[in-house]
Amino acid sequence: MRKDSNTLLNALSTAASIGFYLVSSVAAGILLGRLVDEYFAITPWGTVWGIVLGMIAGMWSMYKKVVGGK
Amino acid sequence: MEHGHEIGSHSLAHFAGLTFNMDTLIMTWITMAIVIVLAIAATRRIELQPRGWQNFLEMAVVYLLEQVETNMGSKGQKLAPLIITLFLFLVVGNELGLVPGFTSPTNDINTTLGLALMIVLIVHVLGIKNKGFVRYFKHFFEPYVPFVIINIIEEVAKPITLSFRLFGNILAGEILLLVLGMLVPYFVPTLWLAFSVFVGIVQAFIFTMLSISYLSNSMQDGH
Repeated sequence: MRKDSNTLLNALSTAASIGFYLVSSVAAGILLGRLVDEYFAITPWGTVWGIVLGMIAGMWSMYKKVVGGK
Repeated sequence: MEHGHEIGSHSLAHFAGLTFNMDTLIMTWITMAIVIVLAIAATRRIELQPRGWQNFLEMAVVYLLEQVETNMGSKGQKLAPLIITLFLFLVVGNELGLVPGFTSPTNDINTTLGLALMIVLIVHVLGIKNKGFVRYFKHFFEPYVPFVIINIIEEVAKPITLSFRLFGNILAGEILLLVLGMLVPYFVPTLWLAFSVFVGIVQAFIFTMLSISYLSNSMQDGH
């Protein structure tokens, strides 16, 4: 009974957080990309690559969460 | 917009060049006071067969200790007070906004981002302490060296994920409660209020569980 409720709550927290990995990684990518843009004056390439890398990072952390259980 | 209860806007105070969201600050103090009173009420007369507040707190503490033990092992015991306090603060804070006249301290991004940054900072400090500076930073270059950029983005995303999820859920819950109160009074808002109680507990739990998960990564020796 205790184990079942543990599994349920953990599954609930994983399910509720998994979508946010994709969104927040892209947000972090944009943030870092804009900083790079400002520092090196290469607008908009920093932001563009930030978004692309953010998407990859989101997929990567979701993969780790689902497959690796981390 | 007509005057009345507004959610998402804050009464501001300026002091020493800084801006303070006074309502958030007062609600945070009230939340802290409630957590302290709860803790004292629950531990004042400890009985073998728990009753009342002791029963409620014991359930939360035992469950969280179990989670800490499972995820971090015996080394994580020293972090248990932080985890339990965090959970209690979040539960009380989230539910406070459902009481008429009060707002949640967690409906302000500054509170949730502050808590998330605190956790991320502890994760890095503990990681460096447990694994050593070089070995800790080596894991940013794993599995391959080019992954360093992706790993850095992931680290920056951690506080964003933690804080925006909690902030968004609580703020949206309170706004929806007000809107439903205006559109379809009585029955529907009552249902949503009941659901918000559940959401508040679940969001506090998710924040705590993710904090445990992040902290457990830095507690491992990496052998």
